[in-house]
Amino acid sequence: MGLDVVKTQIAKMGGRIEIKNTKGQGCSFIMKMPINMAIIKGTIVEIAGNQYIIPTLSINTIFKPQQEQWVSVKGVKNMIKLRENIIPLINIDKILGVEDFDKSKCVFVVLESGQKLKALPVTRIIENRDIVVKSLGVDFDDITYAFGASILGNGRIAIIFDVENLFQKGE
Amino acid sequence: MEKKGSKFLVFELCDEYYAVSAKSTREIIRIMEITEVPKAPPFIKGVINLRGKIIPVIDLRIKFALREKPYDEKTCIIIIEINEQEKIRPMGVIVDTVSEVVSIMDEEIAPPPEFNNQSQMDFLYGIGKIRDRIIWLLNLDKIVSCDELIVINELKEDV
Repeated sequence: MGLDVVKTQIAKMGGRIEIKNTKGQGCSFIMKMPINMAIIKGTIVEIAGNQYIIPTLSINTIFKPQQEQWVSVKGVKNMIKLRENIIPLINIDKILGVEDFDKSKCVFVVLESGQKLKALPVTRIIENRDIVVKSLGVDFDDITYAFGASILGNGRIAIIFDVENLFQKGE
Repeated sequence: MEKKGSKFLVFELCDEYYAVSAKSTREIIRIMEITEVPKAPPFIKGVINLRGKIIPVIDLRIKFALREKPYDEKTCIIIIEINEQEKIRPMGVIVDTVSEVVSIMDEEIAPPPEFNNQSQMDFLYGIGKIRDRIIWLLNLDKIVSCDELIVINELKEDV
């Protein structure tokens, strides 16, 4: 219970916790925190024509799956195999209300939260850069997938994903 | 003796005239690129970057259930200040076009017609008349929260 509070608070600040536990040798908790709260490293991606930002700290791997890496469950291709892991997909099209989103042509961004991995399909990766985190404001309090937003170099606004929330939404 | 009046910024929506208090208006800008926020209510068109500030933008045509129209060179965003629980924050309101600033005397403002559900009336401040034109005076402080859709439709049947 107490550990969960710590985890949530750290996740809110954009950090994360790793646990290493070896029998008989004790347990170590590694807290990773962003140096500056307002500026984070972000990976800008495109999903169905709109740009979004993923905090780079949460990204484990980026890859384009081959045909044989798809895993079907009950006839639906909603898992992906990467090395020894079977990774569930985040249904980002449902979360964002996007129609006709073809996942087979997507690049997959494998996100890490706690000890879990989940794959986020995106149309393409644009770039990796430092971003200034801004609030979306009270009108968007119900938009839980968004952590905030940032203004890009070209003046456009991109929404920053709340990775923790994307993980919860899939469960 | 000087008469008591207030200034209003008049704008058009579907060939009807609406107005907001000039006091709560910060600026008027042309329509610009709007970043969509998926899963937000339909009338919230998204957010704009106003000189480095992220500001929500609402489309009054959608909010009032009027026929939607593609934006053109006349379309404007009025940046208003919303006073919500003693906190002032900016918000963009998309309108067909901004026409003028008028002074309306207090005695020229008719109170809004009464409805069964008074809480839905919060957004309508009164009805003004300028040169035989009816102008709906809006109080946009509660525009996001209240469900004025029904009210606007009832009003049209009334007038």
